Amino acid sequence: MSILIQCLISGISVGAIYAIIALAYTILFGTLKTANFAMGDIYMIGMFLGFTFYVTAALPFVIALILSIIITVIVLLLLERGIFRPILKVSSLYLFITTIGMATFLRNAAQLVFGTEAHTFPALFGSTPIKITENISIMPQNLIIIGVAVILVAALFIFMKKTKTGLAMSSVSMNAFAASLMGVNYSKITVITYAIAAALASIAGVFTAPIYTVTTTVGASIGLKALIAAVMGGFGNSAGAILGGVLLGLIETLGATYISSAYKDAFAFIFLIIILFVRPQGILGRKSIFKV
Amino acid sequence: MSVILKVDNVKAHYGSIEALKGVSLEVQEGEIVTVIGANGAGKSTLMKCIAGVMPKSDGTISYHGTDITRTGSDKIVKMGIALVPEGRQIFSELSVMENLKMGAYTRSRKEDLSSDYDLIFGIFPRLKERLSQKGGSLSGGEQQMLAVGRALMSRPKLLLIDELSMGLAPVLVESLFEAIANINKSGTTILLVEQDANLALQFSDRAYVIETGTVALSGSSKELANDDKVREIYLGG
Ligand SMILES: Nc1ncnc2c1ncn2[C@@H]1O[C@H](COP(=O)(O)OP(=O)(O)OP(=O)(O)O)[C@@H](O)[C@H]1O
Ligand SMILES: [Mg+2]
Repeated sequence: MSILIQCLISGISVGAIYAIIALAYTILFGTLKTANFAMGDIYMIGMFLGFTFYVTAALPFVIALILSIIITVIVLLLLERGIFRPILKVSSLYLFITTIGMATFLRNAAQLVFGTEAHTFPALFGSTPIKITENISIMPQNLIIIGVAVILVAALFIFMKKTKTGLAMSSVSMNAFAASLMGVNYSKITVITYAIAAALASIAGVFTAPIYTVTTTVGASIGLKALIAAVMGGFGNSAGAILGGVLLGLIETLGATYISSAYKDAFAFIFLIIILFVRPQGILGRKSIFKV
Repeated sequence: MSVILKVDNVKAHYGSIEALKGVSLEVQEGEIVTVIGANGAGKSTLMKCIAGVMPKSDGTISYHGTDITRTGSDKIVKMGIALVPEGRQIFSELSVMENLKMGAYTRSRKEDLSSDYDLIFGIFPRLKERLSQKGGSLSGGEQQMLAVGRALMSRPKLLLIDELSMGLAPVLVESLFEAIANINKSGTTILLVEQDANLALQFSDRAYVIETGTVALSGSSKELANDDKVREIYLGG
């Protein structure tokens, strides 16, 4: 029993990481209808920047976090303005392929800038497990990640529902033409959407740095898992991204514990295939998107 | 009376298709002007060109004497032009209230919108009963009311309406036209595209007939309603 509960706790904290990055994918796809496959590597850049500022430059954590967010946002916005936007004018299929290539490019560029070594990021809040009962405990870092995910989700929800800009983003996601008739500036919404996606990815990067080894390849697998989570939940649906992320984290952890840890990554794909077979639109996805 | 809108020899393309081949028209402040024409004549394209959501390949559009040919829709809405688009284009997942809020997007955050809501609920009481209902779940007629209400939220001086009657029961269309006439009486100039030429000519001061991307005829609505050619082609004899 305690093993199961322990598993659920780790599953949820891994899932929280997937959920944050899945939200980054989802907000881009939901609002702008463009899939950007480089988000895993944007996450990696956030992680490296956090490492650079916090460990190498020994800045206070909050400053390091803020700097990482700002620079990651700038990087993604420059890519959007300089590369994605001109290519989108030609075709959204080209953009889709470009972002796949961009992921590889970013990984290689990061190797040039940060080197190929793996780094360890010190535990932020100590490494003594917090005991919940005699046999069940949680690492402070995992608790923080769950907390960060909850805060980000709540903040995003309030932003989308309660602010004028958030409402404008929702309208663009539903009907970009009508939104422009209301006077919504599509370029401005594009910039805000990319900025939010970059911020989400970099926050995830910095907070998960102590859990994973800081390497330039870390984004590839986590980015892919997050994408699976987003698709599973219903691509473009924020609640779906969160649900998909947490479910995926749970399945991986449960599978690794009770079946085999060697096939941990396979569980993600098997689960994705099963879900898409039963519900092609994803768990919370709307069927209507696929009609007409 | 002064000219509020002047469209001068405007051309527009979809790829290599020339949808507007040099359209010119003028709207005076306070008027209701209607544009009639067959399917595919270019009416919706013209409205989109004026609203700033369609690029013009030639010609000029001016509003109150200011050139707006290349002005973006965000600025155009702010200047006082709003379009009720063909097919309503309601934000289907937003509530009626949120749809109306979006209509006021270009207005300052600080402005009190309650008098605007009251005005719109005065014209369309049905909307008030459905404030929290999702836009997409409204009936066609209610959606059309919402589309008009949403456009009014920007306090337009020039209201463009594309196919008010589309897909609606004749009784409802009649009452929507009455509503538009009242909106006009309270000081909003109206440029109206309409399939139902009979009704459009009855409710407007002047009219333009568009055929394949050019203005074929224009004049007072009374004149055109009695014109033999118009009667034959657009009024069913
Ligand atoms: N998005 C588009 N892409 C390509 N061609 C288009 C597009 N929209 C309109 N057209 C073409 O441009 C021409 C004018 O279309 P428009 O929609 O302005 O006509 P309309 O007068 O509004 O017709 P209707 O009465 O059917 O609404 C038509 O030949 C149409 O096929
Ligand atoms: Mg039309």
